[in-house]
Amino acid sequence: MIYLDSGATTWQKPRQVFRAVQKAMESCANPGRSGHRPAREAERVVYSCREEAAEFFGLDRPERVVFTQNATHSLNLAIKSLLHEGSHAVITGYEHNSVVRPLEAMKGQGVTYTAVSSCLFDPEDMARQMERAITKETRCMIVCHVSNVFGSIAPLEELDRICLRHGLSMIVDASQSAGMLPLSVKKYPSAAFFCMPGHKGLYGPQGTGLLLCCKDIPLYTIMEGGTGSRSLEVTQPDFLPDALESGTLNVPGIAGLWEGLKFIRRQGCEAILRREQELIGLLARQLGEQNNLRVFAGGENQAGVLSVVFPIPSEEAAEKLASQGVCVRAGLHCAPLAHRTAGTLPDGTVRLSVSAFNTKREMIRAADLIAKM
Amino acid sequence: MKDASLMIFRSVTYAQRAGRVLEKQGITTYMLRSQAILGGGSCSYALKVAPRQLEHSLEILRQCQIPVNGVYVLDKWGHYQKAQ
Repeated sequence: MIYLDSGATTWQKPRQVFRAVQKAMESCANPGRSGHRPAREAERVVYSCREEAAEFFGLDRPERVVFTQNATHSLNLAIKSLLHEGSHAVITGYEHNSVVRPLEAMKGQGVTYTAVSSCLFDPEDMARQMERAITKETRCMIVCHVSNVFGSIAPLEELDRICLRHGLSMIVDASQSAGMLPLSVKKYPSAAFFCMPGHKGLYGPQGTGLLLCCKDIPLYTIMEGGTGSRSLEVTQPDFLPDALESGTLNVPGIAGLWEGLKFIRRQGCEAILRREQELIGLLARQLGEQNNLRVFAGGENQAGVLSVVFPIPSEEAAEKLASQGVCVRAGLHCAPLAHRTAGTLPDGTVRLSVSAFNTKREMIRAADLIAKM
Repeated sequence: MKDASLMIFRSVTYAQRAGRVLEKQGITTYMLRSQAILGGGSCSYALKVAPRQLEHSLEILRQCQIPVNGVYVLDKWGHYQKAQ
């Protein structure tokens, strides 16, 4: 089997991740609730992962790392904390439904947004168009760091400078970039939140996500409940991470995520990016030789995701590939806005996305199988 | 750790962070759940620290902006009393 669906989740994980999940299930109880050994072990695991993530992403305080269920959960918390009645957001034309749908839902509360169309794989154009869309009501920019459809890399540094110039906060959707593009939150002073899943480039289990809170702003709580702190009070604690972490945490998931983070630290983000760009470049070249395919290649402005339009419907192409042991994703990838921007509606694309576990041989083999289709 | 003083924190995360910070400074602590009465009637966590290292520990935590919700020391009858 050739697994090329890491944009959905990195199915292949370091062995340590599996072991850590099992070990946590055997040794950990509920963190922050009791004083006995299994509870203490859970607390150690959770805090160690929090500390590891804080260090990895350059946050000076581990409590600013919030464990969530996934990137969608993180994005909802970030968007709903930052935008209120009368606020306007500028978003890239490549955002996922996890950004667009919360914004649509908030329209009833007087929140508006502008989705900015810009040329694919053209970071200068994106920055120019995003700045043009700013109005006096604009409160924040929401930026998909790497498109989950095309792998295009957003010019985060330039967008950060624009935000600072206009007094805006930035929310970064790092779903496809975390663990691949070196990411230090200190480099982006306008950023209020970084949102990411734990189960993609960070190689943790499904059901894990991170919200990195970079600024002291009032937090919107999707859920309220038990936090193991200030229990006499009937109101939710207002301090991190408790404000946003009600209920029992996914301790086995967090244990696995901790190992995933350590794996990336050992490999190095730069090395992972270099390798994934090499693989995607190879695949793009191989597929580009086939005249009946439309291949969306972006060179150095592209990370580990490649979209292809086949002469047959994308779902049919993906099904044929699956029957030959090549796992890809087809359709709109929950990002219809990106397809509208790139002109690939209504059928979408076939997406091939890689991880640190893919090889050049797999790319050549997949390209051969596609050629024979 | 006998005769230890207690520093109370608002959550397990803060207690853990304080413990790590102090450990890096060579100060040994032991984390435990504090009695409800010490935690102001709430669930909270405490770090036990040797009385001779209490002042220095508090100073380090102040510098690191880690809030301490209360400090308790043992009286001669072995009961914890809130430090002034």
